Amino acid sequence: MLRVSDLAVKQGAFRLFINELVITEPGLILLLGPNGSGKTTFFKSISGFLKYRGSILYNVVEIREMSFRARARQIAYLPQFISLNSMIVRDFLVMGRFPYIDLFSGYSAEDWKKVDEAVDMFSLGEYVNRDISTLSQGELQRVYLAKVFIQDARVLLLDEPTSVLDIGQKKRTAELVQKYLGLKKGSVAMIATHEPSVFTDYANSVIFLKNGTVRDFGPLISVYKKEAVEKLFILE
Amino acid sequence: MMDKSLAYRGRIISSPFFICVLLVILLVAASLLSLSIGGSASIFTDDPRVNNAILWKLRFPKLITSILVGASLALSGFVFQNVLKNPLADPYILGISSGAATGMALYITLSASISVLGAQVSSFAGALAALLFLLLLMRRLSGSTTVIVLIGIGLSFFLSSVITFLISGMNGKELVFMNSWLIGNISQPELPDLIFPAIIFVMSVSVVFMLSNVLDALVFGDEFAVSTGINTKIYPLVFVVAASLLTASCVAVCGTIGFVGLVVPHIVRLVIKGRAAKMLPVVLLAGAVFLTLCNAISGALSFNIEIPVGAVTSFTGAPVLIYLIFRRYNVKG
Repeated sequence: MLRVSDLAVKQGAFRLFINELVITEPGLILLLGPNGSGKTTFFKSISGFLKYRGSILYNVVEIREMSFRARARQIAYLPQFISLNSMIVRDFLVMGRFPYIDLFSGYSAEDWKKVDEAVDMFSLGEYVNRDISTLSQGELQRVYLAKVFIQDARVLLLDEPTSVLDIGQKKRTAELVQKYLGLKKGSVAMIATHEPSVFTDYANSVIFLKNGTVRDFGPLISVYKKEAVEKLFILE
Repeated sequence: MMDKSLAYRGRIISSPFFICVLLVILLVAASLLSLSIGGSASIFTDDPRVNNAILWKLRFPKLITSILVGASLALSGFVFQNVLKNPLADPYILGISSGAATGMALYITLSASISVLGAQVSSFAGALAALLFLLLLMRRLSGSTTVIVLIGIGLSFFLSSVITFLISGMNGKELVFMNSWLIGNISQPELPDLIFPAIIFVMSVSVVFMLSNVLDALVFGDEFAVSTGINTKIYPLVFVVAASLLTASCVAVCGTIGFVGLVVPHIVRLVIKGRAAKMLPVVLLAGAVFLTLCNAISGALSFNIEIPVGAVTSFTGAPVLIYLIFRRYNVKG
């Protein structure tokens, strides 16, 4: 599904270099690594936001050669930070349908139905008519994730989706991601996080990233071990 | 029961449709007012035929100008504030108007006699030159909007000094003309002068309306926009060009009228919140109402000399802006 080869990305002084990484199995993949290891850079490259050298293939298509809208139908990226502005929550959520509408036309009844479904799924009923800029950090994080779900993509790239949630909401988010993967057959959710324990019940595989390179990639059971995780987070 | 009906009324008052109806009524009222108050240059006489000519040749073109330019500047400001993600953005932030002013100053300095058409063409050419310069740079920038704003501000400062050089070489009559243009004045244009700005207006409004969904997403930053499927290499440019052409056509016709483009979108945002498609009609109407009212006020204040409308917009707009900011950030509620 995703085939990364000879990927080289420069972000200021930081360099991400991934020799080879092939994701074939659907399911939940954890992306772990210390601060500055390149998790966000990796996501930004896959989502088409950053220029890269080498190759990132989605199925057989090169990411940089896809149109913005076609790419957004397949790959939905949840950035860690979104510059906040005034907008009604419902109007914000419907933007998840942007890749599907005719550019010059409005959103259809069906698009709004998808919004309502996500509102139910995320229990956002009480905020749906509120101004997004008045929500709390935790409420915002859930609204952002709901927008990504509405986008109905095959690949989800979630950059620290639970960082500001309370314990109950963290668990709930992991369940929702699992539910999404069940509903959208053949889809992949890559989650960059500093709290892997939230997702370990559901994750299939783990990627270890450090100093801009992949240190390990494999099934959760064989890769995600106490000593290996400790070693990953030790400064070199 | 009481609460319910209040909430209901609140919803009607903040619905875009209701606000548009209200603004249309206000616009009609403001138009009648500005047609009935002339100012020193167009005071009614005892001769009905002269009065008729004053009404249709002087006051009517002024009214149409104020409606068109008010709506254009408000739209331009709204688009710049959204695309540049900068609440202080106004139609002049990128230095387009400084380009126009430079074109104007060059024309006044170099040409033997000053004609309205010549002034319009040269200021529009100056604005276009500034826009082209910005676009050439923007093509090579990484797309960060802060960088564009900083370059625009740099360009404005540079051109201001050029204008100052040119102004210091002007004689009295030229100075008066230049000054009235810099403050912003809607008494120059005749109806044919408005055809070109009207065409630009229709084109830009159509583009912004058609792409209003894109405008909504751009506000949340480039990463968000890209992941939503928006081409951030093209669309910000399209909006900058549309808003700049609007600014250029307004400035060419009546100089740099301040505050409409800055204040009107802010006032609209305080009253309604929603997608751009809902806010745009309100922004356009509110801009037209604001400038038409200012036109009427400038008429009422002009006894011996004509007070340029640009002075009135700043005089009324600046306190409104300070009040709104104060109300919003007042710690004592």
